Amino acid sequence: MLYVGWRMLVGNHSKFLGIVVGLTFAGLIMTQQPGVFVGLMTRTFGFITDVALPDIWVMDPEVQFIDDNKPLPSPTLYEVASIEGVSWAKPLFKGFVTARLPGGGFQNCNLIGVDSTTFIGAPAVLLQGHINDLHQSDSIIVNQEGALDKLATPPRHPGDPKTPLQIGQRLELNDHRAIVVGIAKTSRTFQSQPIIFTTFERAIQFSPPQRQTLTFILVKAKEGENLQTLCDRIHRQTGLSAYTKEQFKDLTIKYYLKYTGIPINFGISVLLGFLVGAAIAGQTFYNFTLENMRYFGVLKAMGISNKVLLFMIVSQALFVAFLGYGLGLGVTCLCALLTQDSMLAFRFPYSLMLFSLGGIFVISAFSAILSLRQVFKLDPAIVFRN
Amino acid sequence: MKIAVSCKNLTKKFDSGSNEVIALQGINLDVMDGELLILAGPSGCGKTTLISIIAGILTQTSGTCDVYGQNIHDLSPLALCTFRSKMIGFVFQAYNLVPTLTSAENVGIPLMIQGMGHHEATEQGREMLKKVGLEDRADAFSSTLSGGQQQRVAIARALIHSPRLIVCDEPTSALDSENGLRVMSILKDLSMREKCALIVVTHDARTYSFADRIAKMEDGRILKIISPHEALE
Repeated sequence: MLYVGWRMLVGNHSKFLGIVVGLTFAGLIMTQQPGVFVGLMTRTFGFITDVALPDIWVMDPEVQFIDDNKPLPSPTLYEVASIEGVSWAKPLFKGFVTARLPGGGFQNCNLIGVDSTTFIGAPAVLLQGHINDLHQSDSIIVNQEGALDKLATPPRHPGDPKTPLQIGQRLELNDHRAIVVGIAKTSRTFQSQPIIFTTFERAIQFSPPQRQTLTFILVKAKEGENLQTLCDRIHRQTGLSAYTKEQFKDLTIKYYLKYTGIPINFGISVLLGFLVGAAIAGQTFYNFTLENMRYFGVLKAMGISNKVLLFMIVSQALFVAFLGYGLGLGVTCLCALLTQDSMLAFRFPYSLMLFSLGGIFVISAFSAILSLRQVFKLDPAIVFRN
Repeated sequence: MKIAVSCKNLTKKFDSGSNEVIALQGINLDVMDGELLILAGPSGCGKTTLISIIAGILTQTSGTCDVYGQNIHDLSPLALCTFRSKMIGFVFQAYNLVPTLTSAENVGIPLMIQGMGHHEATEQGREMLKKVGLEDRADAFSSTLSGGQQQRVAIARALIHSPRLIVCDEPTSALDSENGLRVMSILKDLSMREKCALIVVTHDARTYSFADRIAKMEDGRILKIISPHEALE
């Protein structure tokens, strides 16, 4: 009888299309929007991901997220480096600087100062130039997105493309000359500001004067050292906060979730998509059942049991759910593919796939339950009423 | 001859808000195995209610209704479903063919309900369609068939699982004279061949000649049971 149920479903092309389009729309909204949300949240800790080598980030206890700069006194670096279980500890400057562009414009940038001997904290992938070029005086490395867009020279004529910032070009950072020696590939940041990498000492020169300059201490644990134990030890001995990379990412995300309107805005969007998708799909599937009520009545009169009817209708609902979800997911993947490496943040972990799949099944189950209620209540004697 | 259907003091009342409608009042009726009984009478006289109770899709208010010795309203809902799926065939005025299935698939539905696979049931449906002269329309959808053809498909569907009782509700009323007589002829021939009892509800006096007996109903009662000859006179 499953075959009969399936043919009843797909045989009515317009209704079938309506149900599938409804579920595809719901699937799309429930995958694309959360994907953008997760992508955006991932960007908040993009810099932590890029700095791959250290195991632990040490910072002022008041720091709440990666861009929250609360510099430490310089001697803290040596204090941390001397703690048992620490293989090495390197300084990292992270701040903001206003760059004056070759064309005369101004642009706020993230300024990263890395250890000048080991370059720990510097970008792992350089598209142009070499990391050792940072030894040259006034040298900086800029990220690709910044070089192509916000640090690029504006077109002379409207409509013409911008001229990307290139190696050898100069910027003015806080009245200091800076020469571009490399273009790096980095993760996009939440604020989408250009990132300028230089040595720790030079970053201090470029940035506005401040009493303390050590933003983070990057720590590598000795082999076999338990990271959490080491974090606790650093905290106990220095009073500073020490987080593993994952903990620091969580801290950053929690800050954005708690103090920005992003989750609630996306949440509303996803909820609306879910409700609209549920309304369209549920209504169409319910109408489909109502329109076929006479035939369900005929089948009941002929002796089909409620159990078999349940099986038929649940199978119909599952079939359209899978199809709609698959199509919705397909459109989302297509969008993700087309917007890859663009401004649009998108990330689609497996957990999100399960969440959206669950959502679609809730919609389908709800429609099926509504339909089943009507079919179970149906008096088979309806077949003799014309 | 064996009794196929036996109704004793059958009463059916419907609650319609504050009004109580008595659809059947003390019906006593026996239908014999292999017999074609026509239930005739004006609209609202209770014909359809009576066959609904006999077919086990409506429950009487009082009285008993035995089909082949089984008081069907004593059966559990599941047992009643099984009983209907094996023992009873249905022919409806509006044909009630599933529009998204082919003729052969529609005919095979009763076998699928009994658990037969789709392919085998459809093949048997195809064979059954030969008996009603529609082998060439086995793969056609109902929307492409004429009324007469649809009713012949419905007859094939009612007979494919060899039921002991067939109930027909106005099987010819939507058909022209020629098709109506053809449908009745097929119905009569096949039911005789299958040796099943046939109860036909109809207004159509042209079909009386096919009946063994005709029960005239009015106001929920059987007024008289007469022969076709008497009815035509």
